[in-house]
Amino acid sequence: MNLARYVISLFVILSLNFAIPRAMPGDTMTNLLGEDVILSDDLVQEIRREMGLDLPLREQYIIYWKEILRMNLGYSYHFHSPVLPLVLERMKWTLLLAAPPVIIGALLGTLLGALAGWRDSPSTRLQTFIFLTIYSTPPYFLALLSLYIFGFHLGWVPMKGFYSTGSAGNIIHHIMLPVILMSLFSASRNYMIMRGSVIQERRSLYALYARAKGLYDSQILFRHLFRNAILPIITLIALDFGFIFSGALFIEMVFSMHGMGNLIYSALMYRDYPVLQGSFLIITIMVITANMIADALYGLLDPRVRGR
Amino acid sequence: MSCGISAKRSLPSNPGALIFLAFLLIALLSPYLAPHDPWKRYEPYLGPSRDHPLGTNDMGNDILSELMFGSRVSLGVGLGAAIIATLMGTIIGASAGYFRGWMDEVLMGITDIFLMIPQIPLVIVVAAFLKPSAIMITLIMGLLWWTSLARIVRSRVLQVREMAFVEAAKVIGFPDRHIILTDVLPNTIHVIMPKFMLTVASAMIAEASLSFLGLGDPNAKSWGMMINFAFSRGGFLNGCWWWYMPPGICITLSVLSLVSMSMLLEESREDEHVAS
Amino acid sequence: MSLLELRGLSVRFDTPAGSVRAASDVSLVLEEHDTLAIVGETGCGKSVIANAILRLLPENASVTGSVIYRGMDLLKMSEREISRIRGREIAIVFQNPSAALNPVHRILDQVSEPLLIHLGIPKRRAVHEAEGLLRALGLNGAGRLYPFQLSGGMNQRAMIACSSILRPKILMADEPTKGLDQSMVKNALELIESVRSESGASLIMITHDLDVALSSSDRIAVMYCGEIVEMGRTEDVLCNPDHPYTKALRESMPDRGFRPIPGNTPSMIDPPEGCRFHPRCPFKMKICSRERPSLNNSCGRYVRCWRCI
Repeated sequence: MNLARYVISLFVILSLNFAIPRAMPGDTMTNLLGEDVILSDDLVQEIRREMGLDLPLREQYIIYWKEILRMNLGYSYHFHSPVLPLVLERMKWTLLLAAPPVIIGALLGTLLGALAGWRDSPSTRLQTFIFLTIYSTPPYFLALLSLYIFGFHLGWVPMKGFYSTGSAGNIIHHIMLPVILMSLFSASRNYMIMRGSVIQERRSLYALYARAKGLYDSQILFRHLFRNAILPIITLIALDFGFIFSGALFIEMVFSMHGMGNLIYSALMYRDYPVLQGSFLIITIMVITANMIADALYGLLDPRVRGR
Repeated sequence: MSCGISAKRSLPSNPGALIFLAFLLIALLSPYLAPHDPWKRYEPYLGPSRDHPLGTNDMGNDILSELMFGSRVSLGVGLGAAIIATLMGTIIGASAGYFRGWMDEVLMGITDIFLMIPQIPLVIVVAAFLKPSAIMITLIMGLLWWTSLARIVRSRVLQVREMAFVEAAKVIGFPDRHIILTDVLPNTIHVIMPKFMLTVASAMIAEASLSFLGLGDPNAKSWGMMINFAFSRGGFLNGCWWWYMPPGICITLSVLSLVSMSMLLEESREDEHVAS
Repeated sequence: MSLLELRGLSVRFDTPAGSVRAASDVSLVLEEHDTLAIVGETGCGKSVIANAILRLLPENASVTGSVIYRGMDLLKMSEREISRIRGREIAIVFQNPSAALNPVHRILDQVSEPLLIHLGIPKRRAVHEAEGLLRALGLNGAGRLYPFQLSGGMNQRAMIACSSILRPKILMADEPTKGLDQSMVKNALELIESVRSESGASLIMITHDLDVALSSSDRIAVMYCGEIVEMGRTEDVLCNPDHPYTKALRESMPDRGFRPIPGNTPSMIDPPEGCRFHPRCPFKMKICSRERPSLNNSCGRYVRCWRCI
């Protein structure tokens, strides 16, 4: 049942990907090749024929699916490379930036958020305010500010570039600040969600009964509330993955890192539509995958789902 | 029943509400409040002074005036997108929850699919193809941001439709449209409002992010555009803090005020739930 | 020294609508092996008493008076100290077992939990002991299941097992028969009685059902609008009530003609002056609306009524 949902989602998104360049204003071929391509008229005619753009839409659609199944996402004239390997190569680096923060942010955010939802004290209120402020700041602005402070003023971190030598120490040196920022950004979102969830569960009868059994304070939170509170938000966290990933794109742009973010940025500068669309497609597939993992995790943690 | 006693009592004294109100007033009254014409050129790169309280940018535009006029674009796009998204989400969610059956299946199936598309990358792709304008960006976001609201409205409507007064209205034979508008939606508004505020907030952040990519309206000076120019035209490297800090602070403050209002409404609703 | 003694216990809830006086000046004594029923209509404050004893009330409640358990005032203890009393010395069974059990933990883990947190014995031994208790209570094999897989009656058994596994000195049951059909009521009461007598605990039975009180308790306290209005031996009080409210309550029972008590339950925010029952009392005198009667003792029978002095 759930699998069908994902398959349909994927189908719709791939079809959307077919429709966008054809539905948007402007010449379809320009929309498919990008605006950074200057070709002679003869060549234009030839490519047009080659791409099947003079065929009816229905046949174009079938050709499109054949190409998708052959893992062909088109060719970037700007980068002189097929789109898929280009995107995947960049994706590696973005994942290196985004994956640790997704995990750190999930741990930090749910833990601190649970504690903040459990007990209202001046320190948790301050914490909530700090996370709320991070939550409310566009990630790229946060990145700009910290780059300015820690890079420009204090000189603790390099100003530009990702890997100048490519050694592990060098990569860590470059990636540290972006990873910290991403972790805070991801933690702030999980924090707000988890805090609300614990506040709700705190009022449940099983929490009261746990107290009546003699559990002391945070024992109730960690032995009884935590798992119940995290259940409804596993899916929320997975859906949020798209947001966190988008945040990573912007942070890469600010730090001029070698990843999807800068790929998209230069694709935008040169209106390299194939790269833009290919990136969007790959990101969407990743988000769908994250949701599938979340679904599986949910089933593992909730006996009511597992039992069915 | 709509917004709750405690929320009504505490909202006016909430700092978030006051800040948001102040931004709204500035946006409405910017032609009267702004000290200069934001398009007029003075000496560039001026630091804060009495004549230009927040200095000038590389083009010599007065930053305080830009900031005031910028609130119109930023708030306008945020509110506009949120209104479209809320209308769509409410109509879709309420129809699915009220009529149930195949209508529910189809509408929620569509919602689930849209929910999984990463919104910001899709907006980037679509905006790249189109000539960017504030109205276009508002529309695109409004048409994409409705999914989670639709789900929330649906689950609330599923509860409300089982309540006695709705049953009674059905027995009497009122038409469905009438029941939805007069009985169901008034009892759903308190779940819509907090979500509406969050939608305004996320649309404002998205607008600022798009502007940062150069996909914003080049003819409208939004806060995001100001940061974008400060970044791309050397405001950062030259240490012109008065250029990029104020728009960033304005975005954060207005989003913060919206999120805190939303939290307040949400929590006071739960308190009432417990008290009753 | 009594096992448990409440002295002038009062509970007030601060709500947006005003402060609710859920219990006023409640005093009573519970001896070892004693069984006491607290009866009254819904909202009279009887459950509040049970929750106040274990300090389980929400944050907006303020409690005054004292709750003396074996010479210690539970209300003056730190949260850490009271948590050692809860579940081990004084345990409670809630009225909605399916919501009181944690939905994502197995029954066995929940029933064995008190052993782990109070005695710190190894998990395997705790689980083994819990298995034995579940078997004795007729829940063979249910330990591996989750609450959503069991019926309400089975969940109740599991909760009774969980509350009694440490052989507490006092077992409180909050409306254990509410929502059960007649045959289930009998089962539940028998189960509670067998668990109680087996562990030698005292029982506080909170119920709105006079038959339940009669079959499960030696002594009874009748509450109206946050106050005890009559208290004594259960049979005496129910067969021969002195307080007009107890009489009315008895006559509102289905087997006694189902005659509802005239008038409305009073507001707990602004309770009536004088005797709180006077607006509904058929034997009302002048003094009843002016002065509040005290709880008078004659030969072990306590009555709060101007006519019984």
